Amino acid sequence: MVTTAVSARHAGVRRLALTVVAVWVGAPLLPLLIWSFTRTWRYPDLLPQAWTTTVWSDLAATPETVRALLTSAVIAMVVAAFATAAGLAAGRALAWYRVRGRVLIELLVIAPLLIPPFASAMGVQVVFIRAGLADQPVGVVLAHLIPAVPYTTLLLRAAHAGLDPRLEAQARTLGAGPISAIRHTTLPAIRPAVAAAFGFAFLISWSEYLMTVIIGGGSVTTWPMLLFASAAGTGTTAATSALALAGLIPPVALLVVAGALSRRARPV
Amino acid sequence: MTAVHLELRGIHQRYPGAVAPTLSGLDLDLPAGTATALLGPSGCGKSTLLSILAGLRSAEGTVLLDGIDITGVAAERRDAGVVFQQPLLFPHLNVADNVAFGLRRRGIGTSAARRRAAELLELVDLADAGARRPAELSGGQAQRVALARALAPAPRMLLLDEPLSALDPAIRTRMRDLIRRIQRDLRITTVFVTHDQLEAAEIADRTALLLDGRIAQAGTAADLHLRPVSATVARFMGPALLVPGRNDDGVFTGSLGAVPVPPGAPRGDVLLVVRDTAVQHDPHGDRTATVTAVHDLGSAIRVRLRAADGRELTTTVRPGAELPGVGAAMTYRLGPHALWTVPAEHGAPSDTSHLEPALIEHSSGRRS
Repeated sequence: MVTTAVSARHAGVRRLALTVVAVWVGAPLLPLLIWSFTRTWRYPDLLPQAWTTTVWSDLAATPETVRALLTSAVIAMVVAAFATAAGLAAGRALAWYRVRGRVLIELLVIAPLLIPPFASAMGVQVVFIRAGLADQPVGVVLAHLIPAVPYTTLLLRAAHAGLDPRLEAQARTLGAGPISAIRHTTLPAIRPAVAAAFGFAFLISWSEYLMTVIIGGGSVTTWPMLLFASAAGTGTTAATSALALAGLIPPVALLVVAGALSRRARPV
Repeated sequence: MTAVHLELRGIHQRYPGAVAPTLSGLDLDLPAGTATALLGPSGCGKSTLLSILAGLRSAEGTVLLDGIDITGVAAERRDAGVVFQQPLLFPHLNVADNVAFGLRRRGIGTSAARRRAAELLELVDLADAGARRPAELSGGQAQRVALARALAPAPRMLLLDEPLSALDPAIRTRMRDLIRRIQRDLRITTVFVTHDQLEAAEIADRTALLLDGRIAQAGTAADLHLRPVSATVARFMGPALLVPGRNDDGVFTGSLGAVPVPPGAPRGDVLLVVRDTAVQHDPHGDRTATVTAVHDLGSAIRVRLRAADGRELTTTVRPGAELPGVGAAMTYRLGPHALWTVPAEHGAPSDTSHLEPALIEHSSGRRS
């Protein structure tokens, strides 16, 4: 009976905590949601007097908006894929191998987190213009990798450090080739960290503004650029609210999919 | 499956940056179906040699399997079942899927692999553990799962790298019996790395002693203990008194006087190897020594003696025996059991009697 009482109390605390978090995250979005369904919402009205769905239908009917969302999504997916791959390789090497000049490499890896992005973006732009990478999606992807790779590397290094490197040797003796050993032992064992690294990189790219503006030079339009422009005055409060909410959809969808994937048990 | 004959020829291995090579021109024969214990002190290269056999490490030299050169064959194609000191179970798989891992990599279907895994788990007395996670197992259980996993694909050789070292003594004995039973049943060519002579003797048919990058001697445990080929082997295999002298026609002459030695022992300038068991308390013995210490261990009494020439001898007497007190003289006889000669060493200390006995025993490896 004691255990039931304790677990019931635990469930109660859990529910309360979840509610607090939900309100904390959800409450600021509520005004945005209301704004996106009206044209005017004046003081001292508690709620708008007139409701409309035209803001959303306008948004969906504007090709630039849809294209910017798509561009952002594609760039973020590519950035997440490359940053995760780079993080896997770097994390593995830093955690498992005796690397010459490890401290220097580690410092280089976390440098983008320490150096103000504005300082590095200027230099990166000059280099990219010379290399012909400016003003195009490839350049933007590369620029987004700069802040994304440190996170994936740190995350995946920690994941590898918690795993015995000899597991792969053991897999080799059981008939797995070098790649198969990684695929069937290391990757499944660190899958939650891989999913987290991918998600992080996606979110970093998705919300990246500065690098996109400077490297994309206005030719590559992503969702944050539309949002910033709209918020800065080109759009109405209603349109900006709808745009902000629309930008929540891809990351949330990714989180839901990743969560479902990492929970699903997989056989050998 | 018929057992395979493994041969190592001229194996050289040096770690990058190391001063001395780990293995230098090592030769070893592993006859089909036998279990060989690879014995040696820590860091002597036993595990390195096992990795070379498993294909996990490359080295100069040749590895032959039934006469076929497999030196360049990758680990995954060697058909070697390997168990390391740590169980190294895959944390994301349950016990049954761990055992089935090698079968799945060889393209065997899920249901057939599951059936075979269940068989193997029964073999290691873990029939009910299939659905459990590795983290839920005790050390001994995990190591049994690792053994089942290594054996599941019916490997051509079984390579065990100190698989019992991390286990509690009580579990170690059970696991030792299990490994021996399975090895005898399957007649699989097996190499068992250990630093423990007792473990080597109990599990393996043959013992190969690895010292200074080579096999110093291979044979039965009794061969190595009673008939060592060199003073180095004699010292490694346990406490022994080494007395310089000459062996002429089966009679050793040196500071201990004339001692008959078994036929076949090296002649000429030699060292007489005197194991504790060669010194036998005997009221009718032809020798006397002064008792310097008596330690009653309960199961036996250990007596320290000083011989006429000042050398320290140790002998074990059954409990309850009548013994002279410390400082008195005890009569004893030498051998013929546990006496042997080895070629005299040049430039090396030939006598270990100046060493503390405890120190000599310690170097013989842990007995459990």
